[in-house]
Amino acid sequence: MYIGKYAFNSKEQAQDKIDALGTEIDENGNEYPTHKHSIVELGNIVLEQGEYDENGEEISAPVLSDKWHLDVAWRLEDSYDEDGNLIEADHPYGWKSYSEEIEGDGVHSFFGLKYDELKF
Amino acid sequence: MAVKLGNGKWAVKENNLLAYNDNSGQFFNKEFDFTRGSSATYVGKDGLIKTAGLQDTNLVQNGDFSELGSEEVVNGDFATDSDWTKGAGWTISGGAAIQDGTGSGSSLQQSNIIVVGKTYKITYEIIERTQGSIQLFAGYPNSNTPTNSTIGVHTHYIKAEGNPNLYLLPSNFIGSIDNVSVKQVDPNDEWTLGSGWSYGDGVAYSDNTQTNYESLQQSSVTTIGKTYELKFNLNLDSGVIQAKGNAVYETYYPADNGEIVSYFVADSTFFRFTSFPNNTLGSVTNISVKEIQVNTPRIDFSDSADGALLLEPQSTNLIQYSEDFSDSYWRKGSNTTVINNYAISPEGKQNATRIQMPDTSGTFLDVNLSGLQGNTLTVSFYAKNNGGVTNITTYLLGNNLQTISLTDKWVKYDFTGIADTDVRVGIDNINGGGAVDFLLYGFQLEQLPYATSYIPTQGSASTRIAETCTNSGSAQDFNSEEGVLYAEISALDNGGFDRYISLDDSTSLNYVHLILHATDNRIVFRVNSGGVEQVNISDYNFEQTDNLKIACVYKQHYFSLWINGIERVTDISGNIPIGLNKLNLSLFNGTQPFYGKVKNVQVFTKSLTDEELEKLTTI
Repeated sequence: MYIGKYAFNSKEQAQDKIDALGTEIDENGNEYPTHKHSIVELGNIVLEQGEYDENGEEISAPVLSDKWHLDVAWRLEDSYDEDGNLIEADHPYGWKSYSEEIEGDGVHSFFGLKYDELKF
Repeated sequence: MAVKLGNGKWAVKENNLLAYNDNSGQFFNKEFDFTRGSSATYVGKDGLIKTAGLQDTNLVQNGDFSELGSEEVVNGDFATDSDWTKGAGWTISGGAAIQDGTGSGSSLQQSNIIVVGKTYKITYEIIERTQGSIQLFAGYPNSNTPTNSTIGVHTHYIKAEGNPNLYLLPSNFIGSIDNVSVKQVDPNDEWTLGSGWSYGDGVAYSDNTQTNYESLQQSSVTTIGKTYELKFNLNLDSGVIQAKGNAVYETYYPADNGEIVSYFVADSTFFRFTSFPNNTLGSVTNISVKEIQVNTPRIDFSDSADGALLLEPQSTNLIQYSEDFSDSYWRKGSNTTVINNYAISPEGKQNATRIQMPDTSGTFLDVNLSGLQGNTLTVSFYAKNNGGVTNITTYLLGNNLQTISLTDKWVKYDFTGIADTDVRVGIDNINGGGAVDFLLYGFQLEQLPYATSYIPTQGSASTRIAETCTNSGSAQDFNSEEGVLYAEISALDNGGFDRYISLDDSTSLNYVHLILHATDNRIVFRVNSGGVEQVNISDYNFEQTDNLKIACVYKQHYFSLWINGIERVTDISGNIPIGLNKLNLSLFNGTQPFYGKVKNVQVFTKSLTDEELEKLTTI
């Protein structure tokens, strides 16, 4: 298991990357993933909290990231080449350039797992 | 002969769920492969919320620093005038050591009873005192020599220095002492203490004198790569402390004081707390490190005493502090009082929060979230009245209000709705309703049309990964020519997406499928043979979230769907599948899994009579 954090330019771009991991259509016409990775769409995450009055009315709006953020728990394992050398798993093709490395879990974690310990 | 799962007979281990082939009383293991990958919670047999796969064994030894060695002092109660070296002015009589005031600076001594470098719990009692004091030496010289001048029992934790002798040194003391005891702390040397670390009364203490990073360390605790739950009590007066293996697992500050629960993947076999140079003043205790086998199936007892296999989709608790309502993440009115760790929670621990809101303004507790507009969300939380009015008001998914009635028992409340522009969730006390005083635990907000099991959070949203349970049995366990696929199941939601139980040939060509369909109330029995659909019959009369006993009967040109004691649909045309060899709680390839509660699954290798089917499926 590896955990990756990603910031895509748009929701559409992120969706294209997700779709490329593999989908099928069931008999009801619904698309479902054929991969086993766990993808969490965080969207435009809050960079600065908004302020609200006692009635819940917004005083100042939250500041949102202009990127579309994803956290992924990849079901990927390290492997070995024929000479016995370790080949560490890496981001799937097309994901690495959108990965972000942070300290700690940030705004999202996977229950019981630590990003710092499972990042690529 | 039948492959069976559940029906009150459960056995789980990491990566496996035990099913078995009952061959006329002979049992053969037919495990399912199980995956999840993250932690998850469930309701145990005792009704309390538990973490799946959390092992019982605390891998830390003497985590509460309570272990003491045997008594080192001989004749500590002065029953006889022996074993002690008496300096000037000391006599032993009447069950006490008496100092007449003439021996100031002349000790009462017992030699060779301690080991330099070890820490001892030393107690003695001043039972009479006219004047002066007693100074205690665990070896001489020693940098820690406490002085006592009051009647009563005095307890000190002292590291032996200098030599192996115990001294009670009077200073103008006139009086008597009794009940001297010396016992080694951590007698099995489980812990290694760095500079500035010492033992206290059931704690390990960092005194802020360190000039380097120093550790409180125990060896052979963890296995590299495995996941663990860390629990301990922190009482940090100032500075910072880190839980570590090789690298830092977590950093803690005084604001974190109290019981801490954290999770880590080990990068070493040792576990330690590390103090910072001149920046760690405080103590730790009740240290527990337990392995979590994250891929352990959950048998949930929230609905029945026999339990059910709980299979859930991926879900995220969007609330970043699900238990710590005192954190500033939660917006609180000026008259709202939040008391952490006030009462026993549904987890069975002292971590439920008391919320008090008088009948006035400034009485709310809420969170505002953005970016969720139009999504179906479900709020859930546990609450219990604590002496206030029974009706409280919750904010749901905007400024929509909902009144709930509290009881004197813990209840999990959940509400589903469509998110407004801004999502505001929490509790409000509407003026005029009376004072609110209740207990709160486990606040959860999910992007699902129903509540799933509790996902605790401590500073970030958290995701439980989806589960799969597949790959039980082999060709010899199933009969492709005739049989019955039976399941006692309930879905988490009525409709939404297809949830499969599949008896198949490990491909999509041949199968018997039981499907809780994406359409509300629809239950489907489908058979394929050689890649060609043979049977596709449905019933539309049962809510999928109800407890359902469903039997799918297959044999050549006879297919029948029984639900809850009644034969609902038949099809008398169709070929049987070929080469059935696997039972999956999903499609053959693990996709479109069954999410819900599975109480019982059985695959019979012969068709059953109508009488047998009626009996099998009657609720």
